[in-house]
Amino acid sequence: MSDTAQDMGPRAFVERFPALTELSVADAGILLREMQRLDLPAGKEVIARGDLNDSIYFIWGGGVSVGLTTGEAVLTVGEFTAGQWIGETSLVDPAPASAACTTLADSTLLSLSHARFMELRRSHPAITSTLLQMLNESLAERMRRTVRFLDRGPDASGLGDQDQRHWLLEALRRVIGTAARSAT
Amino acid sequence: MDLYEFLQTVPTFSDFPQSDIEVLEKSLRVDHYPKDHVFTSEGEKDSSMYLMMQGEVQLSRKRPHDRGFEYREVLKSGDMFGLRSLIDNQPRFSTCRAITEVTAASLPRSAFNLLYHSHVAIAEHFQFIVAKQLSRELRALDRALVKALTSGSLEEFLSPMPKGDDVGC
Repeated sequence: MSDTAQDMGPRAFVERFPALTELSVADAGILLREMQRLDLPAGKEVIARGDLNDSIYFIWGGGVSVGLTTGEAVLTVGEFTAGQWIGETSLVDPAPASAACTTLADSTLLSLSHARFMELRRSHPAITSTLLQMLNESLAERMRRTVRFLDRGPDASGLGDQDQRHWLLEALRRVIGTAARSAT
Repeated sequence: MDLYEFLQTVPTFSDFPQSDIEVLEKSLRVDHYPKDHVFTSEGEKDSSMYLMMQGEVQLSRKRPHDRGFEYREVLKSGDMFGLRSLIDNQPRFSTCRAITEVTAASLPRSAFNLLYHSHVAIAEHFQFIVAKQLSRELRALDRALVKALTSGSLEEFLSPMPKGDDVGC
């Protein structure tokens, strides 16, 4: 098995992540050179809650669960699988993570750090422009779906504790982008 | 006010080489707007971004369950708004209205698209600003929701957000 992100091959990379089809194979190869490959076992914490995260993680294989610890219980907020990514907000603006991200199964991730991304912005702005266009569309869609959901609002006085918790969780799923597309 | 000199004072363009500042100057159009001029209306589509040069603009957003307008932020010289119109053609999230006479430089989406093809580094910089703004807005919501979920306080989440949160148009 290959050990580096570059060995994945640029054509396979854009095929694995359809949102990146605007990238040429040559540009995908340049992007891969800046990425790090991580082969992780199931149950491995990729991002710990409260820790500074400064990278985006493209999920090549396996999956990642986003979870919150409330009291003694772990609340699963959502799951991401191959072809998706996590951590895009930290790529452009590193910050402590509000939730923990843990591999669901043996997984292969490709990470791109903020520092590498900023270097790439200077050397290859056309590539980061394509990447930013893809990220902006995704972030704007998450924001629109969240705002629509919040604007409908709950009648707080009419909700029991369980319903309040469910409403908050549904809102959070829209923020992180794991709510079902059919749910507005 | 000279736009070229003004652009050199705006922190977000501090890394720009002189040649890019010159291109940006040629792409932007400076106009004066009266008090109460509405630049962007929540829920409506528009296609320009604005860079504040003089005066103040109030950014607000309606939340139906809050019964009325929730004022969020006053934008001043050097601030930008309407940036998202450069990346999509979706309805605006916020209303931006002049609360004084305003001088602002605008960049319509058509001019941005030309920049994208002729000066990709400039266009990329605007995309980066949008990504950062969206990231901070989503992060603010994420933190508020996580706090409410872990504390079980829905009421606290529903109370108006404090002024100064990052909210774009």
